[in-house]
Amino acid sequence: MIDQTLHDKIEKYLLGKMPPEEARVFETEIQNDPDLAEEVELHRLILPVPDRLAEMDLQQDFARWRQELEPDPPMAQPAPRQNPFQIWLALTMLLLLAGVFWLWRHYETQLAQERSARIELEKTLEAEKLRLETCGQENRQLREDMLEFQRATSNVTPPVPGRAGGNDPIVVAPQKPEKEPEYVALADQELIAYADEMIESLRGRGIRSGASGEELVDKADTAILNKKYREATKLLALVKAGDPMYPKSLEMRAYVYFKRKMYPQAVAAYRKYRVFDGNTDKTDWDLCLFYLADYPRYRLDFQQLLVTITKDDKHPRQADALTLRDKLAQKMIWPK
Amino acid sequence: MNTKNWTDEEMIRALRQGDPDRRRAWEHIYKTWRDAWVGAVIKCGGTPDEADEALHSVAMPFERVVAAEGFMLERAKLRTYLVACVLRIWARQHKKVPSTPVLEGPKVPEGMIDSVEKAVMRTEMKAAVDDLINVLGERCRRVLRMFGLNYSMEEIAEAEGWKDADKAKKEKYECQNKLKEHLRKDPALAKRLKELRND
Repeated sequence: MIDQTLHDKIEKYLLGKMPPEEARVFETEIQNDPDLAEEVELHRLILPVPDRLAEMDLQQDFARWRQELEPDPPMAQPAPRQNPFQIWLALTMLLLLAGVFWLWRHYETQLAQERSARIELEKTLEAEKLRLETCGQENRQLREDMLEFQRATSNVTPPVPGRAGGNDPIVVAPQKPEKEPEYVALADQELIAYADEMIESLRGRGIRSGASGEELVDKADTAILNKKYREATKLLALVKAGDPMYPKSLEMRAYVYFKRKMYPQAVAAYRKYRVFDGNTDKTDWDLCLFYLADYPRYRLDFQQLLVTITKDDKHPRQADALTLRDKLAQKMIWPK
Repeated sequence: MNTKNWTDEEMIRALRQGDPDRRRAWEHIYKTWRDAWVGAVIKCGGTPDEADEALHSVAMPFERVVAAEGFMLERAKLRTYLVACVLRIWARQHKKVPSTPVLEGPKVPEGMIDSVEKAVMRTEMKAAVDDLINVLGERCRRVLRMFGLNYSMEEIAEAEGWKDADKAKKEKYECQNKLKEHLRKDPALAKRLKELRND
């Protein structure tokens, strides 16, 4: 370490503050003294330190002034103060919305349930309708078969009565049934549709009211099915004139009388029934058939009614009437 | 905030007088002229931070040139001179072509800008000097900073609360010796400083 005097002298020389003459002498000393030259060189190396310190100081000032110039970063916005009324309003709205949503869900679920129940009911009704149609067809087929069977049995030739050998059993000839007139057979054939329609409308009438007339008619229906026409007649006669089932009982009675070969009663019953049925096309045709059953008695009425139907192009049974007329003509009942 | 309206002459005088006038002058320069050097650097493709970085390097050499006896601007304004110096140093630091035409008013002589540029410490040199400064304590830093700002020994003694200039002188001597001793112990740093100085 050099003394302070030499230190100051070196600094004075390096900063150019030494008079020129003194500087030249000092430079000579430096050249001749390596230690001094080293000391001067070291001092030269530390000369930037004060400038750098001053620069660093000024930089701190610049940084501070820059902060003063630049606007403060925006303060975090305080959350807007909630008005209690707004909170309550929001809560009320929320509850209302929840309520509306609940109602919507509730009714939507109910509606869906009702829809599915209705679909189920419709399916059941459809199945029931199909079943009834099948039953009706089976019934018709059964009646036709029975009719065929009746015809077949009426054409069987009876065996010869008497003993046929010692050991032969005695054969009793069955009583020959009275041959049914052809017009009755035709009427019977045509009245199959009448019976079907009558029974179908009776069984498919829906909910029962429980009235006595209904019960009587239902029982009569069962009796007809079992061919107990006499019992059916008795049951139907019990239905009073003011009963809602009275017209139906008349319709059925006409058919039952026909089956019992009580043709005038059948015609009378059907004439009474016609008053309650507005479908004159249907009733004209049916009455025509009842007349046919007792053709000798009602020939004139039958012919007039049949001609009326055959001439009426819009009559739904015109084709049936023409076919019937042709059949009657073939059997020489109706003039060709 | 320094609200005084400074003339160039007042500014130069304040820089020569040293603190606190010097500091007030710099505050005015920074706060009222900053838009000028930042705008010039931005026009040339730089950023505000790059402009301020260039100012940091230019400030002390600029102050020394302006505060030197006999300094005088013939036509250009002091502000134009400072901005031209900042733009030159920014271009040097970022290896860009300086675009002096972006400056308004009468042109500053190139020689005056060169004199500032030569005195600007290079980044590598700053790093090496900072390594040396790291060995100093706060007191030494204060003393040497005041010495760098041309404070007299009496002013340093007064600022530090010492009895006389001799005490300040002695303190400065000891601080500088501390630096020399460090360089003796760290010849690599000494060699680096020597090479950077000769570049």
